[in-house]
Amino acid sequence: MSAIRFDAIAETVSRMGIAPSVLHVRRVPTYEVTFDALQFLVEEKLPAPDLAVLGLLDALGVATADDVRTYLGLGFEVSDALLRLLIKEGLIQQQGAASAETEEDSLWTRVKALLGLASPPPPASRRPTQARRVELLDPTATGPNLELTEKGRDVLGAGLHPRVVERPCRMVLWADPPHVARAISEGKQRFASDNKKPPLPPGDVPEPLRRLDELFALPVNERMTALGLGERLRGVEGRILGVVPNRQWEVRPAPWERVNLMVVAGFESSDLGGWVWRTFVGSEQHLELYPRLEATVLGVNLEPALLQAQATGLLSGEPGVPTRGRGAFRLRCQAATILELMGRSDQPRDCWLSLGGADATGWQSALLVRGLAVSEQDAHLAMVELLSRHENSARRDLRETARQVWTLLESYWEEPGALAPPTERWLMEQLWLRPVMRKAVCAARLEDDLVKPYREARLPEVA
Amino acid sequence: MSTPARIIVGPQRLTEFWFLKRSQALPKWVAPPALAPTPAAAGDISHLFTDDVAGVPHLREALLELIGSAKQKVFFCSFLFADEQIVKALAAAAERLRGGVYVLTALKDFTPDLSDLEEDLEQRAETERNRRQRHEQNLRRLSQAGAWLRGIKDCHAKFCVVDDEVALVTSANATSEAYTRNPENGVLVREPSVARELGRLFAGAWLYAANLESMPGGDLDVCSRNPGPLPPWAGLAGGEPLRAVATFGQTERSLLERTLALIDGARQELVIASYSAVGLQKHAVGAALKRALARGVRLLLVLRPRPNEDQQATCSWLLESVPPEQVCVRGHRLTHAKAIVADGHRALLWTGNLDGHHGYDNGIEVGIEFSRPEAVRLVRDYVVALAGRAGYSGVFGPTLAELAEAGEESLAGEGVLRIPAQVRGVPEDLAARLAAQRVGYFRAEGRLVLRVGRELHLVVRETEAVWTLEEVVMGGRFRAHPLAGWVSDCTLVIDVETRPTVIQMNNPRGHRGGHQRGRRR
Repeated sequence: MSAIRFDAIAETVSRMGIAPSVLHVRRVPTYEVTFDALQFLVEEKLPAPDLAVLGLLDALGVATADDVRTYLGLGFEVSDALLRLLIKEGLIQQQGAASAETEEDSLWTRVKALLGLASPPPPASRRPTQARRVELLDPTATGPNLELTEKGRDVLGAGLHPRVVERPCRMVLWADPPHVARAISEGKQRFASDNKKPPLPPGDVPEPLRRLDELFALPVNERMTALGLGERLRGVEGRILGVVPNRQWEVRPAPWERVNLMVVAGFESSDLGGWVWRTFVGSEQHLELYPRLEATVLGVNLEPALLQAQATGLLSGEPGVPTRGRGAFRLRCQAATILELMGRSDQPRDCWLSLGGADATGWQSALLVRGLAVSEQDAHLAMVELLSRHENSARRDLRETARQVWTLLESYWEEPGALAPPTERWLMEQLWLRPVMRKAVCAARLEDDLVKPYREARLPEVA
Repeated sequence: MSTPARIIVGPQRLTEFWFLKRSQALPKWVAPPALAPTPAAAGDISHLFTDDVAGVPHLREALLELIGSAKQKVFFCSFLFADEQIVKALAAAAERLRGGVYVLTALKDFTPDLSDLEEDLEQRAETERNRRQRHEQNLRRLSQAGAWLRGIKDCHAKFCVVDDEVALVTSANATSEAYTRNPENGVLVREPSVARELGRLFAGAWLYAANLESMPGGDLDVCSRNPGPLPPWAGLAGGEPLRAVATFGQTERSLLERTLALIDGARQELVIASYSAVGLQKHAVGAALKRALARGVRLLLVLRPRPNEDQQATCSWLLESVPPEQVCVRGHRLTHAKAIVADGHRALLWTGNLDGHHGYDNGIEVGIEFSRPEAVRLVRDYVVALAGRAGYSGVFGPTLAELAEAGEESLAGEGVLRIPAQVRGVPEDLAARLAAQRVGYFRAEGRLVLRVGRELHLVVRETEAVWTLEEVVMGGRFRAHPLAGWVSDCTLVIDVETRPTVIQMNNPRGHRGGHQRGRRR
């Protein structure tokens, strides 16, 4: 497994707004879960005959089957079938009939609960079954015995008829914490669907993924917190109701899945000493803000002072005042450490200092740090290193390049004039020790050695 | 040729200048020094040289001390860097001074010709290969140590300037051979005004003439560069009794001016040492030398006796019709020393040669002209001593016999040169040529080849006392072939086959006949 590249992650986070100063990163295992069947609530436009029957009953309050038949003019068989269907769907009822809860009623109640309109029913798998009596319409009945149910009234008002459909579904999920990353479109994943690996044996399935039926059955807001799954799944029509009771799902590792990083980024807030923590998920190159997961519940260190102390100890340096600029922690350290922190860049820049390997829960932390020289000598040595990275420019004009580099460092350290620049003699000595800089040193003395001494050449004597 | 011609090869006098490998006493007017010269100082001038007899590297020691004493900067110009100690000293100076070591050298186009005449071709190639390897290794070391290397195509100067206070101008390239084996000389000047002028010249060349460079602090990495235009140049300043002179392309020509002044100012004698004397026939320096000889100035000239046609032609032109007693030319097989001393009063020590092609009107050469009597005497004594131990004597118009005698091998004896009718290209005046021109020989393609004059080659088959001509070649494939020796003391009867064959064997010296080939020393 490759090392976590904090700088790349920080760059990705920065593209979304401001640059972070602290990063906690962990890899999250990704799984592909294949559901035999999920229930979705699909709202269909009410068909015209249904709308007519519901409208009639709404207008009359009570009507006989014969009234409906006459009103529709569709004949006995069609009208009767229509009425049976409407009764079955719970949109109308026979007066005096027992208000037995049908399966549809139960779903409707669940839908309303999911939408926050009523308390949720118990999970489907635990719902008690109930026998009901089948009522047949009396074709000879003439009395006004049909009326709208409450549900029928709601459907009539909305003009839409919610239907529950069952579909197989594949999703990418994380296990810890459980989180739905995305749905897999079967139409675009022929290879994956045709080349599935065997599912994980039950014992290898992460614990959170064994409770998906429960998690899917939670009300939308709770499900969002628990699973990152709202009403709908992108690319799939309908509102998710849950796993079809007693249907199974298979869990497989998702080896090609790139979404496998969870990032907690710390930002300095505008309030002095204030810090804001945000959670992101995704890959190094593509992260998405994940506000549903609070950083506080993830068990990472959210104390910048402690992190800084940890970094200081790591570098054997002295803590500096946290900068207000780009949010880097300032650490006073020796030249060697400054150079290490600079990396290979030809500009002084903050770098991400890893605070060690992953902890027991897999989190790795890094701080954005800025190395400040602990002494003037260290500052000078750091300058030599940085100057060596401007070889071409130094070869053209070493003195000017040295001046620019020193100014650059002073500006970076935000301590203009605090340190004296190195003497030219010392600088030349130091640069000479680096073979790659000998060209520049030699070029710098060219004027003194070959030009200046002869500038005032005498004219030849007249014979 | 209608009748058999009988000719004698050997007595003919050649109308050219030749170096004969023989030691010869110097004429009285040269007045050799009583004691062997030693490096010595005369005020702010020290004459230094490589003591090739005792193998004492005075020049190297002086350079090491000079480089080691640098407090600010070292300018070092040498075509070659093949001396470990000099390179080590320069590298140490670059480390100690944190740069400040500037070098002008050959970064490309490495074509030195510093061969030892007594090495054969294979040995010379091996020597050059080793020297090139050492040169490149040393440049790499210098570059890594922090010396800044630049190269100029025509830079032949060899000098070192330290802190614009001391300068050493020398004939010696920075090679071990130059510091221990070859006769080389130089002059160390502790006069800041002169050193500064040489420093200015170095700076001008380094900044505005160098088109190649390897930056300091890394491995040798030669890149081309486009030097900017040279700012307005003030000629090298200086005067009596000491001044720096130079050739810096067309910009600085004080070397030529002062050389001409020196030669034209001579009234009694000129004592000159140079690696070579070439291309002077149409050059101002050659004309000045001619004028000097014409007004009776005696000339002692020490050269390296290279088998070089240009040098032979130049010396022939220069010394033609000059009374032998007025001229003394000596050849030292390893000399690389350079100096001109006029009348024992004034001297010029420079890095070039008596070369009309290079160094006076182009390229980069430097020199020191001085008139301090003691310093001038030191230089003259050195050149005279060098002439005294030279192994070659220069002669204008020797006989072929003298030439053959001076060589290590020669062909002598009597015999017949048979010319079959089918051989083409035989010159009508072959007999005359054989009797008047130089006749050398060598073996090639399994046959004996006689070179008559410069171009005519007679390829013959040897059978007892008869040479049968098989092929006549003008120049061509044999032009560059080195001679094995000269034909001398040889009587030839030329027999053309169209007539009934008559072979007459004459044996005026009592030989039984047949050519005798022997080694002569």
